[in-house]
Amino acid sequence: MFKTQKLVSFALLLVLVAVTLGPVAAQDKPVELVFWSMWNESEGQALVIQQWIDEFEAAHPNVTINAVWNGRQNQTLVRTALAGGTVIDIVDQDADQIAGGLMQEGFGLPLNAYLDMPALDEDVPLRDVFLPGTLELFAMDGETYLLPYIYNTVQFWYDKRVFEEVGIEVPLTWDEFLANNDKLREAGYAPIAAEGNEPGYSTFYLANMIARLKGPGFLLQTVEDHTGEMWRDPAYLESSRMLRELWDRGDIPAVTVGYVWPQGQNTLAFGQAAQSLVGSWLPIELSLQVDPGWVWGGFNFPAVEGGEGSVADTQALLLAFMIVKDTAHPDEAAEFLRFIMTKENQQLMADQALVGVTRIGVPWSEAITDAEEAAMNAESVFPDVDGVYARYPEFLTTVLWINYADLWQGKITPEEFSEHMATQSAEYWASQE
Amino acid sequence: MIEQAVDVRQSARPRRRARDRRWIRQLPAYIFLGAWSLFTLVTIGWVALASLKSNREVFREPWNLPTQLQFENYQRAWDSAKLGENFMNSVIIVGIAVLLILAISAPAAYVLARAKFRGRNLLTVIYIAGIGIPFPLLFIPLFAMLAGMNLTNSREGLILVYISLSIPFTVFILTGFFSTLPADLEDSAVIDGCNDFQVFRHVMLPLASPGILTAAIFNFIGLWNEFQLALIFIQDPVQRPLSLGLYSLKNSMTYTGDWAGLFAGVVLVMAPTILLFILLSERMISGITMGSVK
Repeated sequence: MFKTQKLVSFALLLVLVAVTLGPVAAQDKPVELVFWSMWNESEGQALVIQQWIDEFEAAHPNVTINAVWNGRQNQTLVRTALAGGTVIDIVDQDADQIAGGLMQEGFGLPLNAYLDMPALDEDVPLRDVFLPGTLELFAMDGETYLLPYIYNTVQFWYDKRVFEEVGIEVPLTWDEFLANNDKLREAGYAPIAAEGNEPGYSTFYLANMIARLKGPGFLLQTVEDHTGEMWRDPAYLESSRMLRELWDRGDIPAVTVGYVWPQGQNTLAFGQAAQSLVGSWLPIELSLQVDPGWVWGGFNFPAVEGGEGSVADTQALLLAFMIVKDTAHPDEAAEFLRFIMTKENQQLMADQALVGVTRIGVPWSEAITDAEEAAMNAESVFPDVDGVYARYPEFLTTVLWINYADLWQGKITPEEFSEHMATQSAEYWASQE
Repeated sequence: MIEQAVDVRQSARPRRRARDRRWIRQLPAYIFLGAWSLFTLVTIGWVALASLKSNREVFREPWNLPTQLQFENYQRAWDSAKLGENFMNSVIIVGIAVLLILAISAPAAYVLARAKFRGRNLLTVIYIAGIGIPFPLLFIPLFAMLAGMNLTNSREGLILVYISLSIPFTVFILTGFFSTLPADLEDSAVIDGCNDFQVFRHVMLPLASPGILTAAIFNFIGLWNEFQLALIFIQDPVQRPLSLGLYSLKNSMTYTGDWAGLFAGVVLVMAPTILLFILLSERMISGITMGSVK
């Protein structure tokens, strides 16, 4: 009996020691995280991420993060590597691309539980420090898989000095926009710089116009209509006519029709054109081309009279991290993502890479303050091509872009565009069943 | 004497006419080749000039000469993309791969071309069929195999991939060369006491050297410019070959609008290949056409 009691006591002691020392032992256990990135090691964003990694490792001596700088083909390489059995814990990519790729294919780790944890530098849940709408933009079935860390808005970008010279204000409505264009033409400027032969860029016009006419989400709903009938909605005819009018009025110069990136935006940089609808990365891309005195301004796509959307609805192109579902170290990977979302770390990205970030209350660089204002005041946000890029990338490239490019370049009429989209959508979805 | 001279002129006339007719027939080809050469020269020249301009000049004055030569574009490109390291990696990867490709393919091609055994034709077809396999189909199996050998993200792994995927093409070229060599030479060597390997090493291999050089040059240029496989199998910036260095440079410099720096990087990457082609083009062409006329 006494012997049994001694054994039980010893076992209990062992359990107690294990419980007390267990977490310490686990904490000290070396952890190696592998991060595959869309950046090249010499790019500003990569330099900031590497700085984050260094500081995180210093604060967590048992964790090592090995960054692999793959460049823009990252997702393709990650897919091959995962299929080949390589261990990858964290990846980053354009949110639209990864949402339509690895996330949709089930490679993402659900982040909701981690987002409910408190932020590292503020006594609020981590999910509350993000700019409005950014976390929810790519949520799937109520679960968040992507953690956005860079925020690009799609807006008209211009030189404020040109608007002052011509005597025009930022337009809030489509009519004001057209009136501005008349004055810009009279002053000798091409009102709009456009890449006529880049569907990725020209679709910004369609997505924004439909968002203004019918509200964000309508374009995505239309694509999801397997009968194709929603393409016959009068809003598509109206938006197509309004966009074609930009060409017919000469707001977009006819010569632009064959332009590929960066031809169109260069006309803006050279002072030949006055405004360009593009992402807030433009000031960086043109920083070495524009005059030294250039003053960047950006404004949202104007509202359309009688439309259901608001001028404050903002198209957001985000870059995001995703933790790979099969990681052996989900807690450490999530801790790193929590770490990069502190104000200090987000400010580092905003200041050094000169990009917009996703944390509330972090000022963006001077050239893109208008983008920051749009992001802060957004009534709603919508992703690239209203979410079609992320959810139906094949439909986008094989049906929508082809027909829209024809409309944009004047090869088909607005009526033909609606008709083609209706019939080809029905055919596309029938072929998928 | 005068009559003789007239005769010569008369006999030369049809020859000249035939030459003229041939020249007229070939004129479209010369025009096409001339235009193509001009286009290539203008393109390369434009890139070279743009590499010496300021960024604002590159697109604002695309056809003007640089107002001031901007050699710092080259320094920036070199430093930014680690082109020096990338260059050495390419030399090591491509150099070793080409040597081993030839070391494996030459004996194989010799046997397939000269030896008589059952199934030779089938074996040749199997070898050559490898040319038709699209590389992207092999990405995942190759990655899994290299991962199993712990050779992903290493120059050694990429060398192995290059060797295995280049053998079919090289065997195809060399089989053609070996099959054109006269059989009498082999017989003489055997009579003189050579064994099979000695016949290959001391008689046939030297005779096939123009073909081997051609295969080496083709492989060198193809692998020097290869991008897709390197992108899949090498992630470490320290191990990257030049093609990946250029890709990395393109990404970072277009994002910041540093087009002049990008063009400087392009010139740095192009220069060795162009130099090699200038030095060896005659050998290459004679090697390719060797055996085409009997």
